[in-house]
Amino acid sequence: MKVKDIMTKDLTAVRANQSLKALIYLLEKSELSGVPVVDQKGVVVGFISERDIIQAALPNYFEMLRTASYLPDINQLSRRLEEIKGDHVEEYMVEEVITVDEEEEDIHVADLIIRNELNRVPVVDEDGMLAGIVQRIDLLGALL
Amino acid sequence: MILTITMNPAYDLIYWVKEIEQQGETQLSRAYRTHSSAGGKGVNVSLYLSSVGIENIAMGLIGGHTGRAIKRSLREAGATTNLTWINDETRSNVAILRKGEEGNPIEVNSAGPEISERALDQFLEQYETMLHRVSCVVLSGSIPPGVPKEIYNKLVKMAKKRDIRTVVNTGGEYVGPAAKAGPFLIKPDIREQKKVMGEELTNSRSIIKVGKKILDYGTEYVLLSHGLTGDILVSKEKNWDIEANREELVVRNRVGAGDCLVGGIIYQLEEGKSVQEAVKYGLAAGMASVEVYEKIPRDASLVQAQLEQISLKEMGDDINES
Repeated sequence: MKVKDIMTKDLTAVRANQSLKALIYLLEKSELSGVPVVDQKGVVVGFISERDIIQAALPNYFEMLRTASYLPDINQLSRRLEEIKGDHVEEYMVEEVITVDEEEEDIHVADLIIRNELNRVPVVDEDGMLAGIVQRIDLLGALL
Repeated sequence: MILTITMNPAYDLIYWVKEIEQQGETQLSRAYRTHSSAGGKGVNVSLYLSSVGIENIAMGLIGGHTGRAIKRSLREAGATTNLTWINDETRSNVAILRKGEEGNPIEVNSAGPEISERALDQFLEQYETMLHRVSCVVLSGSIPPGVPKEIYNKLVKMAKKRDIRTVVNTGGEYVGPAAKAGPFLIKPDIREQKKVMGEELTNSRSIIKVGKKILDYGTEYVLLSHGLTGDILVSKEKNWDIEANREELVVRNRVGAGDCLVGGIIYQLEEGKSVQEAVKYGLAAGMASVEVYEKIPRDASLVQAQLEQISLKEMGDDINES
């Protein structure tokens, strides 16, 4: 089966110059954990997730998780989010994003997801424009 | 790729009832059949296009549980979604179809949620992005509170700047501004008010007159329906009367019939057919939609059967008709 046959045909994305506040609003409303970043033509230029926002707010948090089992002060996260909410997505997005072509075979995207421990992979057309997204559940659903 | 725009989508709830009875202090009825589906004119066009295998992107402003249900319905149908999230709940529209009077439904439509400036700006940014990949934009339905009534004028102009074909299907006060941007085809919705741009539509002569008035703004085709089984297509050079010979159309559900008509036109234009042939097919798709309980006629043979009943003939500008 081809990637285009199993992908979720949704183009939810953000632009690099949008604020983190706008991104958090989008993720909350659309119930997504991360979205592709696209340019004005819809070409995928990055990916940003909840994890990137938390990392931006508390750069040492993930390091801290290895030594402590709880977040010592929730107000610290709140204060930092307030400070960075106007920052642009481009400051925190992953630029070297893994994408898959819609004409690829499903085994290719399965390999990418497993090898790189990804939840979601943006699917692009021949011009690099966002065409959809493959989530782990899309793969599992297709395999059943 | 086709882009459909629904500024004011809805979740459609359709109930078929035998009668509405007074029971104590309440008028009550038990539905003997129900149908619920994503709705709004552009959403219906997307559902139709997906049913015939035409790739399309559905855009619109959605929120809350009904918004999520609309998104899920579109995805399940096979449409690509690029929706803009709003704070408030997307509206639900209710249609009650009484047995024997299915052609005259009771419809309860709300105005829709208030759209913030932020949400509209976000929508416009997404729209601009989508214009890089589509060949035709279909703009359909009403405009929700908070959005300027002239929005279709702006959206048509943005698409035309990129040489993208535009089709508008809307009614009432939204027709004028949209028409003035000169879309490729406009289908004024005259279900609620048989009046377009200040002109009463009483007969074929008045339909052609208002059609010619709209053409003066740069529109290539104006399509006006008279009843469920007939359309008049007006262009600069010629006019066509597209009429179903079938006298007894079995009306089961007319919700979404006009949108299936538009969907049928787009489908046939994508297949390379002429505008008049596409309109003929669209009328057949609309009539097939009326004869099934669901909004979308999924069986192509139903459309084909209707198509065989439809005639297409040229009309002059000056019709002698009382």
